[in-house]
Amino acid sequence: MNSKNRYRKQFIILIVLVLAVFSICGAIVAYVDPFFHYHAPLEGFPYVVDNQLSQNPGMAKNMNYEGCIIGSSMTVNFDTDDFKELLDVNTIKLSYSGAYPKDDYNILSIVFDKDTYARKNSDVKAVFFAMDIPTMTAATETTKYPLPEYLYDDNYLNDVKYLLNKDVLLQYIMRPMIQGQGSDLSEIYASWWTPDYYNIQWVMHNYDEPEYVDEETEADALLPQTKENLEVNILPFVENNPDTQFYFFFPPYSILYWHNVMQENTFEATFSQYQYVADRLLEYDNVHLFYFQTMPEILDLNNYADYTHYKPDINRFMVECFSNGNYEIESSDEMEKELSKMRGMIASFDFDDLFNREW
Amino acid sequence: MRLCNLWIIAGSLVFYALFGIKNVLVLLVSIVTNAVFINVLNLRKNRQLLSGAIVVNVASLLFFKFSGVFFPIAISFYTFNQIAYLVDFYRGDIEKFDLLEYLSYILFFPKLLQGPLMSYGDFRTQLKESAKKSLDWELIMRGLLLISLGLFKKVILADTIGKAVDYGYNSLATLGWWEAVLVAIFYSFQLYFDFSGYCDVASGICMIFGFELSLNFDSPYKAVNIIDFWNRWHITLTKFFTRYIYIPLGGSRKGALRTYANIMIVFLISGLWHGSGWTFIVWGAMHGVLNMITRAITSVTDKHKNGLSTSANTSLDENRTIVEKLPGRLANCGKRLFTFIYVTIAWVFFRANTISDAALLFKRMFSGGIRPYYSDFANYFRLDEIWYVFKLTPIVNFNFAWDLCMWLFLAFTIVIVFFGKSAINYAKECKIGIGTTLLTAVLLVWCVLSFGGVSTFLYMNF
Repeated sequence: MNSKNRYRKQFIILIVLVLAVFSICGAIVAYVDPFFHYHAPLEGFPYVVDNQLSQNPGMAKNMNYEGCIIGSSMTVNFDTDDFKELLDVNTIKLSYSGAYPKDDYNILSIVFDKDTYARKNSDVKAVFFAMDIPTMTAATETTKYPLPEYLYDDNYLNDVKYLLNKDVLLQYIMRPMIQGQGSDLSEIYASWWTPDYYNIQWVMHNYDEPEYVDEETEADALLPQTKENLEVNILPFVENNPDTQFYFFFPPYSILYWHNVMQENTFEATFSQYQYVADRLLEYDNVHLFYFQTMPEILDLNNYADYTHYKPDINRFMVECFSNGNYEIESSDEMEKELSKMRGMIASFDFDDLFNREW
Repeated sequence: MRLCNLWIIAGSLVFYALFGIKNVLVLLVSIVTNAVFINVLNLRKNRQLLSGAIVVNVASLLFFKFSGVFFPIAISFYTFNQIAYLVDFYRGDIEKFDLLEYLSYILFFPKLLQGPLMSYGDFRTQLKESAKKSLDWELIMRGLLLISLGLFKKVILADTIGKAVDYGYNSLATLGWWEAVLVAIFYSFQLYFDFSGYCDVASGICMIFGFELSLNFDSPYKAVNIIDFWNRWHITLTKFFTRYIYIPLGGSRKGALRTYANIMIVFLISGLWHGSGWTFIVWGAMHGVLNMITRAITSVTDKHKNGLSTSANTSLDENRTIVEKLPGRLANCGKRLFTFIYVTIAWVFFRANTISDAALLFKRMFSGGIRPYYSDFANYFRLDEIWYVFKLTPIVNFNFAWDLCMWLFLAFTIVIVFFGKSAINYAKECKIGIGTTLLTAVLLVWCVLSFGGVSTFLYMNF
């Protein structure tokens, strides 16, 4: 064989080898589909679900569910079995830690996309939505983290990043196959804090007090951006899906959250935001609004792992409230009363005592 | 040839446009400005005009580097290429201005982002030769092998090491002593694998088309002194500084004192080119000082006295026996070790955010104490594909298993850096057969599958 033919033969071997391995890898990923990008989960495969950015869009598209949980880390400790037990809604968790309104918009767009496998199987009966007021001043087009776009768009060409991906092959196909145990879907994304972390010593030891801001934010200064986020990223779903029940809730941050608000000098502006958002949401018949911040538990930091994150028992309690209507707000006046009660709780809390103790 | 130039220009512009239209606009403005200067120089060879053109180029580079507006990708490299063209044109090394050839020289995509810096003469010669060549399967196979080796250095070695180094520099206050030492050593390796890996990929692409890019790295950590190091590290930048700064300043022709001053000036400029802040000045000064000291105490041949990158005379007498060669070899090992340690210390300043961060890293080397097993730093080296193999063996039951991937990484990279052939020499000289084909296939597949978390090339920001 002359040298030219020898090198050409090596080239052909190389191309065949590389293409063969890529084809096999791509076929395995497409078949198992650990991010549920192409199809519903395979029967019996132990899927590991631990990546909100990569796996939420696929779950929203290709799983069977009638309700979904939307929102930040305030929602990660919900157990979806509680929703089935107390509300009879087969629910899926689609949380994004630190979610901005745009993150909620992105995932709700998939949830309400009529062309998906999920929607062809079932309508959306209920959406459980954590309304984090501090994020309502974010830019309407900003997501908390950069998204793996190839899992969010309809472009099949960029799927190569998913099909030929070492992490997908090793961590989401090989590892669960070897371990033989997948995630319990009812508890996915649960926070890493074990029960021991929910105590006042841990909270205060790690608390980072914001610097005091001299200039007070005007009471209505935060409303324009809040309005924009509501109208662009949230309300369209409520308006366009009148048969879906939306359970919006203001998560029960601890009393320390209010100390932060006072340090940042946005006290009146924040209260205005709460009232405004409540008023806008209450315009819709398919909205159920809950204000949990006046729960007595918010005063006891033993219920928290930091200044906002409450223990899983409180998640269970909130589902009970969704079921029995406790803490539900039905009018603007009721919201005003609750906010007034909140002001009272803040005013009577002894912050000096809290900060003057050694933790 | 004209068609070839048009292809290069169009392809390179499309490639560059992938980084954003703002970058393209700045590049085009720069090219048009320089083309005007060259045409005016063509009418009137005027030294002031040349100086003006260089000042405009340097000013635009400084503006984008320090103003914080935005940093156009690869601006340093195409600005330097244009300065080189202007000076060579003024000196008469370039006979006539040809717009198409000029554009393909500046835009040529394999060298556009991170070099290597090539003279117009070398570029034109290579382009002419490659245009004449027909499809060569041997060059294609060697080029693909070089691309796979370059990708391996960048994606598997540099990026893995980079994550550990980032952790180290973000956790200076808590590093154990050996972690602090390894952070410094690994950064030296990261920088080399990152930049030389890019150059290998660029050279491999060019090799497929029969075009030989200028050599940019030649096993730099095998250098026996700092002068030798700069003869092997970022060679084209060293040549650029020598030709367009050191020699115009007088080089070594105006006495010892001026020579040392010129060396310091060049290295301080090099420091500032790499980044703003005192850390880069210290880095440049460290290289300048050792360069001066080495030049003063090393006997160099007259032939090599006129450049920054003068080679030290390190050849051994081939006729001597092994026993007779031993002292010389040991001495060379010592010199290599010293040079590597010194360069590594200088890289600490290059990488650290502040002088005090650099000082803290050195302090941790002596006061960090011994860290237990399960070091977080070592964690970054546990690539799944290696760790899963460990898990199938009894090794995983031992305490040291947790850190073992890191030590294996260290041993492997030391062998490559100090004892291995450079990738480009290996790709050029090895016998192409089923073994090299398999190696190319494995590395290509491994790297493509690992692309998911690939960071940007370090030198793209210069």
